[in-house]
Formats: sequence, structure tokens, C-alpha cells
Amino acid sequence: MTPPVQAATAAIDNVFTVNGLSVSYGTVPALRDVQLTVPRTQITAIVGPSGCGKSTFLSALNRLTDLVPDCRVSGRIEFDGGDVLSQNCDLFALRRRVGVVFQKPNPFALSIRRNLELPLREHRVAASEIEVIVERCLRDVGLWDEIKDRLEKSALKLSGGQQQRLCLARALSLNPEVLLCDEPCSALDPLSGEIVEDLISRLRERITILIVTHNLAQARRLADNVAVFWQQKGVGTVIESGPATQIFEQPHSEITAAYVSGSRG
Amino acid sequence: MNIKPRSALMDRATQTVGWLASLMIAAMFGWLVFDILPHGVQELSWTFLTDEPSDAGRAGGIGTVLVSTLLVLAVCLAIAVPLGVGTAVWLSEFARPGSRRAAAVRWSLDLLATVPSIVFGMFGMVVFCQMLRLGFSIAAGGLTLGCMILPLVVQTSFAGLQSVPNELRAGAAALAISRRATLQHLLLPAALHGVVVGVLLGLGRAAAETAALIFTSGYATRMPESLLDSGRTASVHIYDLAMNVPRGASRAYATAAVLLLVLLLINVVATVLADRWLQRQTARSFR
Repeated sequence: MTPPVQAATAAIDNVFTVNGLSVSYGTVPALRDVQLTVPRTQITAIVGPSGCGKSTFLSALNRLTDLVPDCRVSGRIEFDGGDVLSQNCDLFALRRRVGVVFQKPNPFALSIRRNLELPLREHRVAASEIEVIVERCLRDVGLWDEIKDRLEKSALKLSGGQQQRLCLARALSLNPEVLLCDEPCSALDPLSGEIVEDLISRLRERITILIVTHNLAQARRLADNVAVFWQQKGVGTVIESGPATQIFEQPHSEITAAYVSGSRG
Repeated sequence: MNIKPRSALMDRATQTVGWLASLMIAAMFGWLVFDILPHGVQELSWTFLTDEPSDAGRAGGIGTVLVSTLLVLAVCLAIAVPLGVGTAVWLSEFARPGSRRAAAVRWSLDLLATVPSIVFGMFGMVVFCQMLRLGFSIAAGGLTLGCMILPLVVQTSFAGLQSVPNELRAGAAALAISRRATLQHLLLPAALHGVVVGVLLGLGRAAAETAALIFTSGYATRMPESLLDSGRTASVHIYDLAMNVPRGASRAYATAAVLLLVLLLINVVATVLADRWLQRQTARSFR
């Protein structure tokens, strides 16, 4: 197997350092030997064709892979110096610090307010603070003025774009350091998708973002860094990663060059 | 293209067959109601609902029978609902799919579901009446029925939990919401309709049961003073009047009419309560 081409990252402060990560579902391997570093407070886009393990990679980062019964994860994921895959890893703290926005908006079948209250209460945020945080997060995603009069209504009554913004607000309410976004705009209409993309773009100064996207134009617009996932011998891996300008302008790998020019993938 | 007329014909045929089938279901229910209610209503009166049966049920009322019925059902649900929902939660949320223990539990439930009620009666008599020394009692009858409807409650609750999409579980886990809170606030409310349907079906089966109860709760017609007293349920009373008591048929019909109305009432109340609870659960704020 060819080693992944990677730019020098010695001086950069990395949030995640992934080494030799392999994931399999039962006997079916999904990822093999992934190497990747994720720089702090930047946007790292994960691109590549369908079925090369991009979503699997994201869910390994905060151990959502634990939810899949047959899923086996090996290798090393370092988050802020701690070992994510260790038995002793505090999942509660990890998932509070690493939030997720999924592809399909997944608001709970609760009122809008309760969608935000439930995780805050679970994290023992004082009741007096909760109300302030709810308003702040809904303002952050531009929902407050649209829905402030119907916070007690079911979140399922919101439009798809509003639901996704609510999910973003819910993830932000826990004040995460990293946000994992798994194609957050792909299930939305173009206008709503644009709003969500803008919101994510504006978060870049505050938090580290990893975003899976099929949309190379979106990756160009958003990303500081890009990781290209590809299937090699039927298993996904990272074939190249580095600053976005390098990946798009002067890729080292031929596959990357063909992919970003649109002739492969 | 000549596919269109044929497929249109098939569509029409399918629709008609479906319509006929649903009509038959409605007709069967209608027949049942129109057979029982007119025959039964003549005997209905306030004293019939409150008095103790006398002259082997030909006179008096069914007051004590109704009390025994409700007590047996209460014991039955008190055992079947927590055990059944708990087992369903374990199977759906905690057991590893394909694990031996889960397979063993599911297999035993499938077997239990096929056991004839009279066998449950024998089992109840040996275990509850004799080994646990409950005697012929409402407690023994209720526990026996609880075991009998357990598979039904587990299966429908399990189906309800399984119908909750996994995105919800992943979403909750990604926010580090504990499994207990995920169950309480997200999964059980989503599965509630399945659970209620299961409990109501189980309740119907329990209320209809005679064979298992003759061996366990007996057929004393006096007012039960405790759960350890023997008590005659409505179904046992109907069976006795129809089979063993000459000229008991009209009283059997009347009792059947009351049983039908009570079950209908429980059905409506349970559905309304579940809907209300669900609405409060979704709309309410934690404050």
C-alpha cells in the first residue's frame, strides 16, 4: 500500500492526530490504516466518492462507532493528547467536547425548547443558565427571530432547513471544541444549505470543524485543509491530505488530481 | 403500450379485495355487538351491576364478579407490564443482537406465545397455588394471566422500540445523553403506541380467559376481601352460566355485554391517556 502523501505539520497545533486507524463492520473492512492530523480552529474538509469510509471516520472520532454492534476499531486516535480508543476514555466528556451535526436533520420529537434543554440538563447546566444558553444558541444559528414565539411547539413542525439549524444550535449549546459535520447541507434545499454553510463558515474562528462533503465547490469555499478519502482494494483510506490550496492547485497524488478536476470519483 | 389496462385492472381488483376484507372485519364486529347487546341489554340494570349473584347466577347481579375481574386484571398488568416492557427494553437496547442470551430469551418468548392457556392454568396451579401457597386466589389467577400475556407485551413493545430510527439513538449519544435519559425522554415516548397496543391486546386476552383461571383463581361468587381470596371473573361467570346453569343464557349475554363495554371503556381511556401523556411529554418544557 502506498503511504499517504502528507504535508509537513510539525508547527501546527493539532486537535486530532490519527494514526493507523482501521475500522471494520463484522468481517467487512471499511477503513484501513488512516493517517490524518486535524489542525485546531480550522475547517478540514473530508472529500471522496461514496463508500470510502468518510462517515465511518467521523463516527470513530467521538466513538459513535460504539453504537454499531459489530464495529471494530483499531489504531490510535489522539484528541488533545488523550487516547480516544482507550477503555478509560471518558465518553461523556469526549462527546461534550466533540459535537456532531448529521446529514439528515435529527431533532428529537420534543418541543423546540426541550430539544435544547435535554442535553443541557444532562450535562448539569444550572436551570438559570439554560434559558440564556437556549436564546444565545438559537440567535447564533439565526433561528431566534423566526421561532421565538413557538418554542413550545414540536421541533418536527419546522422546515428541513430550520431543523438542521436547530440541530446545529443543539450541538453548539454544549460549547464543543470540535464540530463533526457529516454532509450537513446535502439533505437540504439549496437556499437552506447555503444558510447552514454560512453558519459553519462563521464558526471557524471559535471551533475546529471537520466537514464531510460530496460537494467539491463547497470544500473549496470552506476548507483550510482537505483530506481525500479513496477506496484502495475495496477499503477506504486517506490518499492525500494537506492545505486546501495545495490539494486543489498542486496535488501530489494522481488520483487526487483527477478527482479535484472532476475526471474521477 | 398495452400494459396499462392490465395493471389498472389489477389495481382495481386489489382494491376491491382489500375493501371486501375490511368490510368482513367490520361485519364480524357488528354481528358480535348486535348479537350480544340486544340479548344482554334487557337484563341490564343498576342492581345487576352491583349485586352479588344468587341462585347460581340466575338471579342477583354481577357486582362481585366485576370486582374480581378488575382485581385479576390489575394483578395481571402489574406483573406483565413492568416485566414485559423491561424485557423489551433489554432486548432492543442493551442485548447484543445475535448474542446467545438474547436468542434464548426470544426463543422462550416465542414458545410461551404458543402455549395453550389451559397449560398456563396447570402451571399456575402448581407454581402459584401450591408451591407459593397462594391457594385458589385472585393473586394466583392474575399472576398466571400475567405470564400468559407476557410474550405479547414483550413483542409489541419490542416492535415499538425497534421502529424508532437509529438516527435518534446516534443523535442522543452524540450529545452524551445517558442511555437512561434517552430511553425515558426519547425512545419510550416514541415506542409508547406499540406498548399501549400490546398492553391492550394482552388485557383483552386476559379478560377473555377462562381455562387458566378455573384452576387458579377459582369461581367463588362472594365479594373478595383480599387478593388471596378466590374470585370469579366475568369470563368464568359467562362460561358457567352458559354451560352449567339451565336457563342461564340471558344472564350470560348480559354479563358478556358488560364485559364488552368495560373492555371498550378501558381501550378508549388507555388510548386517550397515552395521547395526552405524549402531548405533554413533547410540548412541556423542563422548567
